[in-house]
Amino acid sequence: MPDPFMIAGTELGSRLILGTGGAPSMQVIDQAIVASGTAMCTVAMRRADAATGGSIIDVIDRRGVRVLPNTAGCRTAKEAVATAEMARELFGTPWIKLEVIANDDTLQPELFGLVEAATILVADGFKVLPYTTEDLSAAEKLAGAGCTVLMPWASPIGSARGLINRDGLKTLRAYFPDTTLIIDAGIGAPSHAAQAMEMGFDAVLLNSAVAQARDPVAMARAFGLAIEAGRGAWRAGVMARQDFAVASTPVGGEPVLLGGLS
Amino acid sequence: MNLTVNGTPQTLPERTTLAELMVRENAASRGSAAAVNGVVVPRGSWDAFVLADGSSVEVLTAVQGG
Repeated sequence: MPDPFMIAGTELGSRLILGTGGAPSMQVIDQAIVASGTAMCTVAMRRADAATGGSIIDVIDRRGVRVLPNTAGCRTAKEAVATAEMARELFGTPWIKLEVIANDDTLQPELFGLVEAATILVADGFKVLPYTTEDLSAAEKLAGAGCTVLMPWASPIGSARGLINRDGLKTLRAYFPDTTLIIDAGIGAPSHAAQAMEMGFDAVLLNSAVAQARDPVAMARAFGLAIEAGRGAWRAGVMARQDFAVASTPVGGEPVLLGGLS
Repeated sequence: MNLTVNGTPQTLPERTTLAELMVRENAASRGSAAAVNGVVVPRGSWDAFVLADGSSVEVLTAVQGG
C-alpha cells in the first residue's frame, strides 16, 4: 500500500532527513546520503572563505537529493528572516528550516521569535519548516501562521538523549493529526528514531548521530532501516501495553499430567 | 574605491561590478549569494550592479549544516 511522504505538495522518497554538519568529509557525506536512502539534506550558509575546499552543493547535486537550508545561529526573528532570504537566493528554494535559538546551553528554540519569523516568511512565499519544541501553544501559533510542517525536538541539539518528553510528543501528535510532524534534534541512536516513527511522527531529521558515529556511513544505513521499520510498525498498529502478563499460548485444553519424572 | 567585503576593508577599481567582485572572491559558482548594504542582490543582477565607494558586501557560501 502506498505511503507517500509529502511536504508542500512534493513527495520525498525517504522519511529520513539528513543533516550534513560536522561530517568528517564530503566523501563521507556522499556515501552517507546513499547509505541512508535520504531524499533531503540540510545545509547552512556562512561567509565565503576562498580557502574552503569542496562544496556541499556539489555533493548534494550529484546525488540528486533535495536541499533544505537552515537559519542556524540566528537569535532574532529579524536575523532569521534575513538569513532565509539569502538562503532562498543562494540555494534556489523557498523551503527553509527555520531556527531561532534562545541560548547556547540548550540551543532550544526561541518560540516567540520563531512565530514572528514564520509569520513573515510564510507571507513572503516561503515553505517554512520550524524547529520548535513540543509546546502546544507554540505549535498552534505556528500552524496559524501557515506552517504545514512542524519540527519538534526530541531533546537538545547534539545531546543524543533521544525522546526525553515522550508524553508531550504523544500529545502533540494527537493534537495535530493532519500536520506533518518531523522529529528534529536530539536523536542519538537508531532506536530513538524508530521510537519516534512508531509514535506516528512523519519523519526524522538527524545529523550528529551519523556525523559523530565511529562509522558514519554504516550508521546512516542503520538509521535508514530503523526509520523504515518504525514507520512500518506505526502503520501495522503496535499492540497496547498491559499491566500483567497475558498468555500467548491457549489456556484451555491443557492435558492433566501428574508431572515429575519417575 | 574603498569598501568592505565580509567585514574586511578592500580597495577596488572604480565601477567594479558585483559580478567581478564575486569572481575575485572565488564565489561566482552556484552555492554563493551576495548582499550589499544588507540587501540581497539576485544573481541575475550581479553583472549590472556597480559597487559604490563605502559599500558593505557580504559574500556567502553553502556550508555543511544540521
